[in-house]
Amino acid sequence: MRYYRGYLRVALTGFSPERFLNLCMANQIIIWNLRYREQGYEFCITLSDYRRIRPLARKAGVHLKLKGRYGLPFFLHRNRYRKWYAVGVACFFLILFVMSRFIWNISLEGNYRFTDDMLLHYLDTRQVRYGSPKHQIDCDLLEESIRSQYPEILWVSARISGTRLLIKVKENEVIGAMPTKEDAPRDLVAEKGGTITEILVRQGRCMVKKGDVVEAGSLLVSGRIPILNDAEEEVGCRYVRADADIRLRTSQSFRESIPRLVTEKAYTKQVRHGIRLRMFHYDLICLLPGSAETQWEITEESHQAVLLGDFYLPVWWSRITAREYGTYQRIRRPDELDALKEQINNAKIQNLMQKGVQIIENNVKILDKSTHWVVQGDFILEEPVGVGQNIKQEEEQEQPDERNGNHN
Amino acid sequence: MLEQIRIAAAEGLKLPRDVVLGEVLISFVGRCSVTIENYRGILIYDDKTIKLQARHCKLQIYGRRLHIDYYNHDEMKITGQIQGMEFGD
Repeated sequence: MRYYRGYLRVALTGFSPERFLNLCMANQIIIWNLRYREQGYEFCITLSDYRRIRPLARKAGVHLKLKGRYGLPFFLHRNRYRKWYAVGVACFFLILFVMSRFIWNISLEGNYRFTDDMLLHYLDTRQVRYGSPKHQIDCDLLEESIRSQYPEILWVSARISGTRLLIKVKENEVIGAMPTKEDAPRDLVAEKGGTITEILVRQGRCMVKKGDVVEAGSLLVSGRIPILNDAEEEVGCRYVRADADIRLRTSQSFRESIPRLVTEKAYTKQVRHGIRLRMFHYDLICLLPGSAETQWEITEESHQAVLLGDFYLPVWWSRITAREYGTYQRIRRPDELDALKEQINNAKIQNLMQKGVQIIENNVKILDKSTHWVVQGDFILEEPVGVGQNIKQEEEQEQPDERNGNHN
Repeated sequence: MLEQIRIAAAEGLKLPRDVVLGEVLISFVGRCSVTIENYRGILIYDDKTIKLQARHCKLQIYGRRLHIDYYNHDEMKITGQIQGMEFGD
């Protein structure tokens, strides 16, 4: 505040400076940065108070001498003839003002299943992108449209802060929709072959038993329930929705080949540094020249220019590092081969576990071929089996009730 | 008489003496900064000594490179290397 109003640095000399200081205090004149000097004192005072201390100085018999003028009024006065300087400053603020009317950064939070690219692409279709005017963005409408486009997103918050569009989403953590109850009659059939190890039927007629070997497509539980008379003859049938827990022992194997040679990068000590400046869609790259015949690994660390918190600007700068490298091939070491085998095996196990499969036996070995290695794995698994197959329903038939003689 | 009543009231009602009696209030922050409230005026100031008049006493601060950051009617802030303080009548 003192800078904007302007203040002075004043030297004080004379017979009784303490009296002058006390007079200032009594007259509510604010003095700060009071320093003792060999010849007297120096202090700071506001421009308006300086006009009031002249009579006090006369009264105390001290002399005042201006040592410096500071603050905005003096700065403007000193630079009053520098018109282009003023134009430059005005243009700067004008550009800032114009820039502040647009969105220059879109921040997404809370999205896991829907990637940033997916959401940004969708926003792009809604005309919300880098450089969109802020007044064209209706946050409430945007929230609604995101929710309707992605039903898995439960909650959306969109707000504009500075030149930044902040979108926070909350996704539904329960995977998939609520299963709808179906009543259509069906059979349960095996989707793959194996040996039945466990079967528990809740509804339907069991067609297999524990220990049976089934093929893919075999009927496991029938949804057609025959109605028998006393002579064990089928007189009709009823259709139900077959439901059972069935576990099947199956075997599964995989083979994956690993090349004998592995390509490695060897870095030389040659490093090139450079910078890249991007403004709107224009790029300016300054990178020291290097040999075109050699290979270079280029990494870039990009930053967006920010002015005070959320005031992002359409200017990006990057630091580029290029490291020279050459490639060579070498034979894979035994420990690397073992590690790779473990990695492949673990990935397979992970994949099976995610499907709810129990691994009973697991044998993995490496076969040495002349040109490459083969990782071969054999699993014995126990997994849930049985997929629904709708029954083409015939008219339910039932034998006339012999007791009352009714005919249907 | 009035002064004695004030003292009695301050002691009886346990009121702060700096408020009721205008006693000088001195707050040190380490040995490089001191804030003095309820002082009346500046008696001596140079870079080694600052002597102030309080309501009931004088106080003198010794040190090196002493300077007054700001002062007004109520409060003064002194910074520098403070070596000691002394009260006088």
